Formats: sequence, C-alpha cells, structure tokens
Amino acid sequence: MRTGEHQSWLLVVSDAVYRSLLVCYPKAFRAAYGAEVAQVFRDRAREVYRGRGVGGLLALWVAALRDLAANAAAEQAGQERHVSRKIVVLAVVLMMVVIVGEYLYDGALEIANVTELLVIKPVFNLLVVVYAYVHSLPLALVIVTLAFQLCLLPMVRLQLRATRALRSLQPQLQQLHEQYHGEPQALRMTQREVYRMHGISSVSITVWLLIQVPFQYALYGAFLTFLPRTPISAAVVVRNVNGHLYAFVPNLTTLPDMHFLWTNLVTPDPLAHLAHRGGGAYVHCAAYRDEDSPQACAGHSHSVRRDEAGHQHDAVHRAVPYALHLLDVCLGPGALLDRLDGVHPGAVCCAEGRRRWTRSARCGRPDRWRCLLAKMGWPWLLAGASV
Amino acid sequence: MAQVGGDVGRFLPLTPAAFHILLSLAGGERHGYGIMQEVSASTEGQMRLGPGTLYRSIKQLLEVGLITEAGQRTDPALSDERRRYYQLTDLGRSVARAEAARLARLVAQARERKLLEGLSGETRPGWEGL
Repeated sequence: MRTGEHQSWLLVVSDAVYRSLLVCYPKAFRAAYGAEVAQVFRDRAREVYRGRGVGGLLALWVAALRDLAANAAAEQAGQERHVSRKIVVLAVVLMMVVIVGEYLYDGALEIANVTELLVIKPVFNLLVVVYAYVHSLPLALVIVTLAFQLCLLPMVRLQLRATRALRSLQPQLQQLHEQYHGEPQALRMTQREVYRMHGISSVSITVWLLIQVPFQYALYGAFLTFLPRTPISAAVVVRNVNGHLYAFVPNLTTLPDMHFLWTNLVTPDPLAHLAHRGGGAYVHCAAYRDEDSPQACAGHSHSVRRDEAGHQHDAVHRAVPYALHLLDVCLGPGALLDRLDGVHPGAVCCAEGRRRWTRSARCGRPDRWRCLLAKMGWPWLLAGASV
Repeated sequence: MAQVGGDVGRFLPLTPAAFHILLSLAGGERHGYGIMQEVSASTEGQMRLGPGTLYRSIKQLLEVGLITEAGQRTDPALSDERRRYYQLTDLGRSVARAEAARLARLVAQARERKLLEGLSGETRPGWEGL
C-alpha cells in the first residue's frame, strides 16, 4: 500500500482522527467527497511531517480544524433540513459522554434522575471548579454564564446575519411572488433555493433559546443547592454541595461568600435585576433594529407591501424578549426574584419606543406608536425598579 | 480581451479559491492534492487551500459545470492509491479567462494609481497562515 516509507503511528492516529471528524459535514457531502478530503489531508500530513516534523503536524492540525469548522458550518447551512438532526445527534453524543464519565468516576450508574445527571451536575461542577479558582461564587457564576453565552455567540451572529440578508432580499422575493402567482409549490421551491444560495438557514432563534433553557435550569438548581429555601446550617449546605461533586472536583470546606460588588445573592436586589432584565431586553431589541434598512423607511411612508415572511420574521424577533422573559420566570433563576417582573416588559417597551422613534425621525414622519410605547414603558420600568 | 457575455458574466467574480482551482486546472488535469500543491507552489505558499475549502469549491464548480471529473487513476509521484482527477470544461476555461481579464483590468487601474510601486508581493494569509 505505502511506497515503502516509514509509517509513523502519529500519522496513523492523525488520519484516523481526521476521518472521524468528517462526520461534521452533511451526509451527502461526505458520501461524495469524504474519502477524497481525507486523502488530501493524509497526503498533506505526510508531506508536512516529513518536512517539519511534529511541530509542522501540529500547525497543520490547527489549520485543518479551522478549515473543517468553517466549511462544515457553511456546508451544513446549505442543508437546513439536516441541522436539527445533527443537533439531536450532538446532544445524544454529549449525553453518552456525560453518562460514561459519570460511570467512570463514580463506579455506579444511576438512571433515577436523568436531568440531574445530564444537565445540573455538569454545570454545577463547572461552577464549583471555577469557584475553586476565583474564590467568589458570584464571580464564578458570571464567568460560567459569560463563557456559555460566548459559546452561543457564533449562532447569534449567524442569526443576525440571516436576518439582515433576508431583509436585503425582500425586493427579490417580492418579484418571485409576482412571478409565481398561483403556483405556491413552485414559489416555495424557488424561495428555498434563493435562501440556500444566500446561506440563510431556516433554523430559527428558537433553537438558540432552547439550548439556553437546560443551562438556566441547571444554574437555578445550583442556586437552590447553595441557597436552600428552608433555613439549614452551613455545615449541611456544604455537605449537600460536596455530595453533588465529581470525584476530581475539590470539595468545599466552608460556605462561599455570596457578596459581589455592592450586591448580595441572598436577598433580591432591584438594581441588579433591572440591569439583568432591562439590559438584556434592550440589547436584544437594539440588535434587531431595522432603522438602517432602506425598506423599513420605504415601507413606512408608502405602505409598500413587504414580503409576508419578512413580517413574520420581525414579529418573531419582537416577541423573543417576551418569550425569554416567560422562560426565565418558569425555569430560570428569575423565579427567585419574580416580585420584580414589571421591569422587563417596561424595558422592552422603552427599547421598542426608541426604535420606532429613531426610525420615524429618519423617515421624517411621526409614529403614533412611539409616544404610547415610550409613555407606557417608563412608569412600568420605574414601578418595577422601586418595588 | 475576453468577451464577458451574459453566460460567462454571471459566474463573476469568482471566489479566490475557485479561481485558484480553475487556474491550476488550466495547466492540465489534476487530482485534489495536486491542485492543492499547485496553488501553494504558484503563490509561493501564501495561498493554501484547506481540504474542506478545496472540495467545497470543487463541488460548486462541478455543479455549475465549470469543471468535470476525468476518471480515476493512480499518481506515480505519490502512493499507489487511486485518485479522482478533474479537468476544465470549455465553459470553465472561458470563465477563468473572463475572471483573469477582470482582475487584469483591476491591476491596471491599481498600477495607474501608483498602488503597485515598491510592493513586495504581499497577499492575504493562506490556509496554514505561514
């Protein structure tokens, strides 16, 4: 098979790992080109290893992973129908990893509480590991949440880009509507083709939301372990916490300090809550603002009929902060602080009011909604904050 | 100068990866790794196509008919594995020519505006970012 050349085990392992990573590509692409992609990588790895040794191979791997991530993502984006299946597969693989890890460390497998096993425990342990380094539980919480959000950032960016692309495609879609009048099936197929060509995936923001839910749930669970609702002694809390840790995570000896800057995690803090809820809603509305799109102004003053999908898209994005809020209240740490929930709709109203205000200012036309929303929003916000 | 008609014009501008692939195939049929080596050699290592980028571009070029497969055989310079070879179609050749003409016009403009004086051949970093 080989041309009599010394075959390093490193190359064999590297080839095998690369081949298994090709699973990131859609099935159709893998079937057509997978073998050739692997072959090219193998040839390149051999050449680099011969020329520059292990260091060269490492550099190749860094480049190859970047290449794989970018191209697999792009290829998957064109294959919108397979994405949800991929996510399911990924979730199953993650579950298996966690279960096997649990089994290896504890020596026993308990299926009694699957949520606990799969979601709460890993996040909880991560939190304690970070806590062991930074010695402040609130700071650990911030770091873990930020890290998680950072992982989601590419998805959010993808979503934002798709929204913008969809907006800029409106005239083209409008034309298609007229062209295929009365042929809904042909229209749908052509539309799908247009979306595919511009890399717009139909995976909506709901996926992004759903991924957050278990994480928030896990943090909430962690909170309840650290801050039990019934008063019990610190020693019992520490014992409970230690009981949830993996074998390799350092155990706690004392209860962690709950103070962070001016706030205290034990009692509800209106200011922190305002920043969390209001800030989040505001950022969301601001991110999806459409005042910089020419169609938004045109649609406003001449009531040009915009594509239905575009309208739905806008409506969904306006509803997202509310949906987030609902999920937050039902599942997240927000349940601890639900006395202050007036803040959130207030902030959404303010952000929406501001959005409409800037848009109408650009178009040079007053917007009757702007006054109403802005007027409704502020008292609500203030009332929420002062509770 | 090539005729940039409606048929050819709709493929322009090509992505850098696609143009490099067409360029390397203009010198004769090659397999994937051959294309990669040729691109890297002709740009003095500055443009390195990753396997993913390479085959995604090949797939797109095949789909629009700018290149075709030219059968499978072994490459005596490498191991005795069979490799799939690719070649330019007539359409691919005219598209590559039109793209080259487009770029030549841009370079001519850049030269006119004195952008090329005292330049040491700097381009964007390639796949392995050497």
